[in-house]
Amino acid sequence: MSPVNVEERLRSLREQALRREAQPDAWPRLQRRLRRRARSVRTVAAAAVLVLVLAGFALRLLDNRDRVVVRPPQPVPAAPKLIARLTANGPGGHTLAFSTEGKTLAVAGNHRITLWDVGRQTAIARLDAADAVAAVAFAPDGRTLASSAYDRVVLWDLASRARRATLPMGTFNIADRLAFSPDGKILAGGDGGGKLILWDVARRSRLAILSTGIGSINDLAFRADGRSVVVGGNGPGYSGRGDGVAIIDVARRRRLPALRMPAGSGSYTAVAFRPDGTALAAVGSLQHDITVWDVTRRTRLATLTTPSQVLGVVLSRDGGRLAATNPRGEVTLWDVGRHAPLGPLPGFHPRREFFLSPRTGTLTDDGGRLAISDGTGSIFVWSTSNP
Amino acid sequence: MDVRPGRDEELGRLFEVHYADMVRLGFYLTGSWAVGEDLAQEAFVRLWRRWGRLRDHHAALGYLRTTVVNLSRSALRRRLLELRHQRTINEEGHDADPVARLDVARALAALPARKRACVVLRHLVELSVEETAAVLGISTGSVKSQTHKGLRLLEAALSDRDDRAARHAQEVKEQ
Repeated sequence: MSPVNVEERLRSLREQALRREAQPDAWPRLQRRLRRRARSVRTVAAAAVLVLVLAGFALRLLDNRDRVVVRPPQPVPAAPKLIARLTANGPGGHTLAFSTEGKTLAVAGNHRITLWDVGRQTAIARLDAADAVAAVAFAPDGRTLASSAYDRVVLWDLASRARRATLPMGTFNIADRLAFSPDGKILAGGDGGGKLILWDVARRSRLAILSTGIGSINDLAFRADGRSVVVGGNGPGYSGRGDGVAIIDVARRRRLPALRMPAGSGSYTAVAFRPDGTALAAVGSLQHDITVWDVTRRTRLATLTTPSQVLGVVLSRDGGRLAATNPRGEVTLWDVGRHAPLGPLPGFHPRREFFLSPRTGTLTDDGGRLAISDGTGSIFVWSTSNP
Repeated sequence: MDVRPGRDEELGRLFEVHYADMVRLGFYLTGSWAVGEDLAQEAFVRLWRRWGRLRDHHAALGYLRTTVVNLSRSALRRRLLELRHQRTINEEGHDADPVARLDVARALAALPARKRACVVLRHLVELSVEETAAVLGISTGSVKSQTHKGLRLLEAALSDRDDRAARHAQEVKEQ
């Protein structure tokens, strides 16, 4: 066989192809096609409107009572506003957590936890964690902070900035995700082996270690009444394994049947509880969409179509706001109820290395604020609420 | 749904910037300029249809590329049938398109779909490994391995052809 330089041949093919002139009638051709399509869509739409009008008329005849449903005007959310840009103690993906109202942001990284006053953009406390921090969570009263390192979970007293307790771990692995119950009495942690641990915060004792049936826990959230926890898994399916979402009954220490998503259906699963008590799960997929599931009713609520593939997804605790990243590191913030994106995030420069997870990005419980640690040592906070 | 002036204008701009590139991408993938034109047209029609969900320029380019690659798979099957038909014409010397006649374009069109897409996006469109992975919806690891395997297959196909051509020339000379 004689040696062939493939790259050379490809280059010459490319050079010749680049010299080719585009066809002059390409644009008029496309416009003709689009106009034809618009006409046919208009015809179909007109037919549909006619059918609806007739159906409405028929219903009116059947039902004479006045049943006018007045829909409140849907407020259009304002575009996100950059309200703070904080500089962390060095580069790396910092782990973030908001206090309940979003006034304070905990930024953990490089063996230290810094508490920031978001409004004033000043550091108000520095806690020496002595180890890499995997997760942080504020207690609802804002006086206690929980942080996890590889072999322990520590409760910090924020008034004295001292360690108040170290919680017993048992057979539990490192807690990748922590959350307090809404009354602050229980702390829950999820690990990479799919186990959920519950601690009694006042007694500093372990209540239970439960197997959730999920391969690796990425996200967890308490229901507003504290009686159940929803747990979302890592990647149902890039690995081919059908991971999913589980709801845990806290009082009975029992797991309700897990909702399995089809293998290959998406990336990390974010979970939330809506104010009405139904659990939500959001899964981003390589097929350019994010599927939102009603876990309680086991139905698909919405499919948010995105212009690119979705790698990481984060939900606010009430399920109203969702942030997602694509392979280019761009972040899109969504209003889940309106199925619409909320506009660009000013000041943020996407980096391919950036990956959104509940560690690197967090929303306040009501979704009114989004914080992101971009990996270079900058922390961005945007306000996403209505004016 | 209507052809709004804003959307039309923006589409026109995108068309100006990207259309020729999309035709080339379609050509690289199928070995036919006519099919390349068709694929690019179809990709723009689909872009226009999902306009509301797709705003920024950068996203549009990624969408166009992915669409052309996906469409090329079904278009390629049609193209292979055409090729069989065309070969008889070529032998009579009627092929008006010198670029399409290049062996490398043919060999490329004969590669398995994913390897072909990887070689085209990496070496002809000159995308990065990450961009290629995003267009094809596969991992960067498999982009690297598929590109490598694709190049080796291409090399084998071309050297095989060269050998045959050389042998043929030799035979002609000897006669």
